[in-house]
Amino acid sequence: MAGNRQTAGSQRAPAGFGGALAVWRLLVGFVGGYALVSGFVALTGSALPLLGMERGEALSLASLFALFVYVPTCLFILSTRRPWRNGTIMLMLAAAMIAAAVVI
Amino acid sequence: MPRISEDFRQAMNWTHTWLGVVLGIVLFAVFWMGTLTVFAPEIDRWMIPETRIAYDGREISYDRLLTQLPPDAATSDYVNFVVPTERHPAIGIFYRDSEGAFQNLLLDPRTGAPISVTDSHAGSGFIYPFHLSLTIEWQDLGYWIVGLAALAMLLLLVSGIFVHRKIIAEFFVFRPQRKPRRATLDLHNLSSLVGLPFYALMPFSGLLIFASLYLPWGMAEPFGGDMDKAEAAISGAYDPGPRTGRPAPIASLDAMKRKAEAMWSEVEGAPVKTNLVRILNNGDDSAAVYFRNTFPKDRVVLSKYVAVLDGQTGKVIQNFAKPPIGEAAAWVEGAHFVQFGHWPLRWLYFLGGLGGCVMIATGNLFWLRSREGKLAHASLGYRTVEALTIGGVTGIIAATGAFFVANRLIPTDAFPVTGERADAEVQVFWLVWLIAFVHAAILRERAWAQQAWAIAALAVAAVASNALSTGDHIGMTLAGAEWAVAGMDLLLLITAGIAAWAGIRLAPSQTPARLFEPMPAE
Repeated sequence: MAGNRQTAGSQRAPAGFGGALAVWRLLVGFVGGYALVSGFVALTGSALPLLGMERGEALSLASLFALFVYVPTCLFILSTRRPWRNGTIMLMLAAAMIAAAVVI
Repeated sequence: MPRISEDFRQAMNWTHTWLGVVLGIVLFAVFWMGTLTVFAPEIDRWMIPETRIAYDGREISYDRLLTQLPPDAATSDYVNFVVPTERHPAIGIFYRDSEGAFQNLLLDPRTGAPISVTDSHAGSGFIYPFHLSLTIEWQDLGYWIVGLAALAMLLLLVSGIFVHRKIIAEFFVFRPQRKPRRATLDLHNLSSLVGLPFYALMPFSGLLIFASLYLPWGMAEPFGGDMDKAEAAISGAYDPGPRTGRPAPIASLDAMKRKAEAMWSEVEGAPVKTNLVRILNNGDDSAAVYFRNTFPKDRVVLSKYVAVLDGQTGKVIQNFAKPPIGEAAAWVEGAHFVQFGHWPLRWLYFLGGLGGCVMIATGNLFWLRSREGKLAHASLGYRTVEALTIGGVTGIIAATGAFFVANRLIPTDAFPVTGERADAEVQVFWLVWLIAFVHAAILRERAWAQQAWAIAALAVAAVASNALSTGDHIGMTLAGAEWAVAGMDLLLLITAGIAAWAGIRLAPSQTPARLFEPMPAE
């Protein structure tokens, strides 16, 4: 029947969500995701003017797309089967974007 | 299309469950207050009866108003007039006083004289800021909590689609006669899907409105870390610089206002009005006057036009119109603010907000119900979520009712423990809310029905106390087409009816077997 698999709120954490892994996923997803989205907005706002876009417009565009970066990133880190590897890659990407935005 | 793995579904399930349980009550509070904020100006008129004045659309002379300001405002260097509208019939004025504090006044549009009003934060001063920040101002903490909840809501919506993946098949399925847990889940799915685009738009646009608050570094970095410059480029913010100290009279505000509006109307090809007349560096020879088309009645886009004119010569210093992408962003923000003149749509926002409340409440209820009758039922975690859910749902509604009643019953010369009369109303709100949580923690399931009855009683008391304290009883406001007051009273009565019905339905004596029925694995 329809409700068979709707186990929202099952008592046990699914595999990949025990203790340290859950904390890592939440931290990297929310805090790391925040760093990534900050870097994305700063980089987009700094880089697009190099291509001739008005700076304020570039920033408006970046802010419109910010959540389209943040939400999928968060969900990806929360659901990936390789949280350690992919989380680390994501953090490095965030650092790279922030660095690039500062340099430009 | 790639197959969605069971791992992914489990991860979405985990995310959906725990974000919902942890932030559900914050989300409910924000949705509830946001729903009320749709009608904040009407709530203002209900709570501040002196502003129940008819709007006649007369032209206001700001030159004349400037000559009759109270001394404190006349000598202020930062004076704002808010142009009256149908929904805000009094002229608003806010200014910075000699000590740097912001003061608000309301002026009668017929005479320009200050109106002596009931000291209340009302809809625009409490319900609206609660929606944004839970009124926790310390370090902007409240904004960050609400922002996190909004982000969580977007995550909940996406993960919910995977969790309730049979949602399309179940869209038309609502089985109120089935077991409570099943019915709760049906109602959760139904209310979620009906309003899904709206529920996605609200947190998205809400976060966008506060982009510069939430991303202070990212938004300022492209402008060399200078947020003022970023704001100027995005929204036409203007800084007049320091005062020169040379006093000078100000040129005609009315002439400047006409000039700004004519300039905008020509570009737009339709009449565009200003909502704001702001004098910067008032009384100084560096004075500037700032006009903004914040809330157009016939457009969704907010603050598309900003004009700044020289206070002495009336020459245009800055003529800002939002560029295309900025306008797109302002449209999304305008869709959140719902200030355009469209009443059916405003009611749909109200209903959408209530639908969101149902979605959030049933989500928490489902979490509780799927644990009823199990070992977890007695655990501290379960009891905490239970108390938070009851206090967070019926409790905040009752607290809002108490806020309305307190507004009508606290005498005008009351001196509460801390601060002013307006703060006493807010203290009543927090106190009643706190009591509701304690009540729920002690009485558990039985608290639902009692709190529903409390809501019904408070709603009726609010209607009665409005009639008694102002004389504007519902028969009179309906006959006089005072829709703000009549609408508020009618909604309170409808609330009372629904709450009483819920109180009867939830009475433990009628449904104990169903409520406590253990749920076998379905």
